[in-house]
Amino acid sequence: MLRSKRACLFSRQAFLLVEATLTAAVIAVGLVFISRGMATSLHTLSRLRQQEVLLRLAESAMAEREAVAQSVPAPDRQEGRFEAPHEAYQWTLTAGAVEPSVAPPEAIREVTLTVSRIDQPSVALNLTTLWPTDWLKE
Amino acid sequence: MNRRAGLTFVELLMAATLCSILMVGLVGHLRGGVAAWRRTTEATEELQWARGTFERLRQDLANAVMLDARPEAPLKPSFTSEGMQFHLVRPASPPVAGSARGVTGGSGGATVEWVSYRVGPAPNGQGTALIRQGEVLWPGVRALSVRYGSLSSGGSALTWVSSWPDATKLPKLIELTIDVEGASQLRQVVVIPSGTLQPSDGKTPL
Repeated sequence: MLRSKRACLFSRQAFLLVEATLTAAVIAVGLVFISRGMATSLHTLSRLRQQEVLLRLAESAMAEREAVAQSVPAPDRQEGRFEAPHEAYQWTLTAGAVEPSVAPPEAIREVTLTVSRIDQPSVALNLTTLWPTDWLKE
Repeated sequence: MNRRAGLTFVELLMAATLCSILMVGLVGHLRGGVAAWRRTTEATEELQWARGTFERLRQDLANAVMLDARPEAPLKPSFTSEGMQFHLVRPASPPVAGSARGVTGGSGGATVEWVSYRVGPAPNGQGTALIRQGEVLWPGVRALSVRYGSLSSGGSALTWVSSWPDATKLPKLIELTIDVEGASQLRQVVVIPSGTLQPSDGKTPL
């Protein structure tokens, strides 16, 4: 037994083609998984940054619209674009009725602000809040 | 005679070539991985700095007050295009239970603080930073640009002015544009609840 083990350890046979191919395949699969992991990480980071920008823009636009609406009632639908360095983005604000369960429903309106990329409308974020009705035009 | 057969030159050459190809692939992946990890770390750090800074600013400005509007006031609030300084009221900390005597109490009443935000040289001498009252808030910030919201002469549109000349009232909307080293500019609008949105009139805003 010991002898056969020693013989196996110190065998001077070369690798078979199948063994070499299998090793190469295993290494290739490992590299592919590593590459996919890195790509996923970068993609997630890119999406995170995109969402962060969208959220910051939405909060800013909402703050601006709220401040103006407290002085001058706003229309039910507004839209606009952002200044540099975010000129690739646009915003849309729409006001609608709230659910009847919210009391009193006539005193408040549900306002949704959507920020999206002009060239990729699917990249968008919605921010919803409640405004008193007197912030909006009749 | 203990004669052992060695590798032929061709075998050696092929093995070296295969090893080289493998190493090139591995090193390439390793370098790509390190670069991706570095980019991810930097971007995450930048996001964290941005979140922390804007949250701090939001909290400070939410509590901003016009404490002393007299011209002879020792500390006059100022809101310029390069920074701002103002008073804020720090609310009393919530009651903390659990002293040895069973006393329940907070650390005291509300306090008034004087804070300033500006970009200046970092205390460690490495570049510039966004500084809040002597404390580095965000290292690596190159420039801070501040504008203040006001209503257009018609009263329906929002315009931005580079300085806030009304020494008796706080601005309602503050737009901050932060220029960070190695990153794009970040823009955020922050609200002072006790501020005002005054109408501007063309040439001389507000």
